[in-house]
Amino acid sequence: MIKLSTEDTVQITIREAKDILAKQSVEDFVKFLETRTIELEKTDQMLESVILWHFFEDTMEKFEEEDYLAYAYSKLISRYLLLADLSKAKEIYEKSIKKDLSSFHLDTVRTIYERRTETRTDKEIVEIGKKDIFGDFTTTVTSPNVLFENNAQVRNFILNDLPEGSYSITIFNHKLENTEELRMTTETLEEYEVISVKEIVRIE
Amino acid sequence: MVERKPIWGSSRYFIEIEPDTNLFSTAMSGLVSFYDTRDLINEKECTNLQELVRTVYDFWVTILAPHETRVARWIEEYFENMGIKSDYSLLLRLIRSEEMIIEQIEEIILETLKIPTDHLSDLLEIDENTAIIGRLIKLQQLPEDELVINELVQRVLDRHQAVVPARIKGVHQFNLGDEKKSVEIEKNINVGDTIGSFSITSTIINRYDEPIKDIDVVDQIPYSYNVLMVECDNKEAKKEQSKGEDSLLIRWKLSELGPKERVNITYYVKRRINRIILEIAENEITVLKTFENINPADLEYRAYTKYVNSHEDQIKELYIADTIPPEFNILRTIPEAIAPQGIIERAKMKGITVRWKHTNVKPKELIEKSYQLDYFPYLYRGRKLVKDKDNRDIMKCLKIIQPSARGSGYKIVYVIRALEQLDEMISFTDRIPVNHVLMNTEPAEAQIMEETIDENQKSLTWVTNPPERNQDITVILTVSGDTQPLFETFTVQIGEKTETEILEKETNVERELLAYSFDLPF
Repeated sequence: MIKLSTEDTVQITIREAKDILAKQSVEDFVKFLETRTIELEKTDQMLESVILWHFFEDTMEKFEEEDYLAYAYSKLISRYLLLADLSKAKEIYEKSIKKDLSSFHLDTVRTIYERRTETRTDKEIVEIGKKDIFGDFTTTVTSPNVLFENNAQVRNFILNDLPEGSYSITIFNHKLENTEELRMTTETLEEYEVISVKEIVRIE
Repeated sequence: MVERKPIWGSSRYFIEIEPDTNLFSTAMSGLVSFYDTRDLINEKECTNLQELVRTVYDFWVTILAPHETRVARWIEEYFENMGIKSDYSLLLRLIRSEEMIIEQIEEIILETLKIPTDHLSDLLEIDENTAIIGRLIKLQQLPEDELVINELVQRVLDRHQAVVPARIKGVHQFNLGDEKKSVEIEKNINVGDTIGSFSITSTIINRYDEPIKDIDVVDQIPYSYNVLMVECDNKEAKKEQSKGEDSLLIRWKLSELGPKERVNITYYVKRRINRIILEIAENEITVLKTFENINPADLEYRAYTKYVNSHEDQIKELYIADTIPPEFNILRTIPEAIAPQGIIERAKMKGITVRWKHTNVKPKELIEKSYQLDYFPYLYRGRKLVKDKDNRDIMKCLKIIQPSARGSGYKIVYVIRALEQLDEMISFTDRIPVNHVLMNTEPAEAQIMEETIDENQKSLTWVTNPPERNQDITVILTVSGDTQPLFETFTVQIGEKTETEILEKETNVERELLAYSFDLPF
């Protein structure tokens, strides 16, 4: 029996993946690569897995599939973190920011990266709305005049420095130059069956 | 008890899972949060078990190399600590993204047929105003894999779950001159006077300048609703009723209606328990959808179920799944629901379902269940936006009714927020049952006047100076009474100015997570 070299394994996988992409769906292609990378990582072949994720990144870039591209970047950042290759992780992290990509998993991985490397994202709270008795978010809390390194710090600020309540926080990310909204509750909520009546009336 | 648990192999990263239900199934939803030491990195609302498990796994493999069996064990242990019995092999299969189960089920189900059920009505003692909706699902063969059977059962239950609509359908037919007209109208199901009651207003209007004749209106009330009373303000209108596929059909016939004339019909309804019975055999599943009334019994409510195996053969597996209307809470079941035979699923924001499983049910075997129910903690919230004659928003008003958790009674909270500078006195007029007693007012100096209107109700009037612009004024009333409060909206008056027009009105009932707490001695 001829034992295949690692290089061969990766090349064969890439060929097979290309074949799946040509004949089947993008979902099948993703599934196939996920399965193969997991197999490689289970046997400590992390570098080979990274090569496959780079191939995945290139392919998704051509297809302009933003969700999958975000997925590829999240995988690459986390894989480089696992390999303790911080310069490579930084490269991918910055690339993902330049491309303005966002997904739940990518946001999680970016936050992990930022906290490990103490990278500042310069997040500024521009508005804090607190839920009032009418159920509307009203701006009664002044936003702090500081920049936060990441969302975890923003959450900590809400948790530790503001009175209990339900908040809507508008954050401006100076690095991405975009805004995002974070919803957070720091009070104990109870479940009710709510009978709600809303009226708009004129009075004369 | 929700705990923050470190992922195995790391002392820095933690995961917290807050499931919305205590029942482990593929439909299990919940919140997954990730922590870096004590700091929350991210959190995700997951809509089913697959998403929940994959979210945990994806986070895990961000920190460590993939290890599916360890993640499955970790989740199993996590649920075990919460008192939820999970299934390691299902968790592992979900982590491995095996869509095989779903594909297998699609292959197993061959076809679904309608079946007659008239002969079962007496046997199962169902209400004469409801019907049994019967389906026969033909299977290739019942799977041997227990996981696939469970998933199949879940799938069939989900697919046949009665959807309780927020509107009903009505078909209006009439003759306009020689022309026959037919219109389909949707009618809102409105909040009733008390908890658990609803009303539907069906209006027949002649919008033409000539009479319409041979009017035939059919309102379709879904069996999920029990019609308690019907009112019609036209004595000429003749009412008939019959049973449709999934609704009670109430027909109104009227020979003529003059130009611009209208007839108002009001249905007073309450929700029923939606029941699905699955009779599982080797090559088929019989699905019976029935509806059960909830009746008052002393200070609580009761519902009773009777099932009899009408087949000539033994039933391999029988499931009875009851969805309790969301306004109710289960106090007790008879027999007691003890897993795995009886499971009460309390899903956050969704309500309660009770699922019973019986095996090898013999022909003519009788199975009975009964439920003792009480109301789920509820709140009435009436919001009013007040506009002036120039259409400017001048005031926001709020009324909350919160029943006492301990005694028989409730609190009424009124809030006024001025959106403009207001100079005149403001008054709120509201109603409560005549036998309810106002026990306490906070602040004590608030001006509240009581006056008996008739033998059933009395009015409450709160008079106050207006708050400053963008400021609130609040008053909290403590009312004692052993019957339900009235879910009425108040009327507002500013000085001599009164409400002249309702520009918009919207009512709905749904579960919400709220932090309302008006801590007053009761």
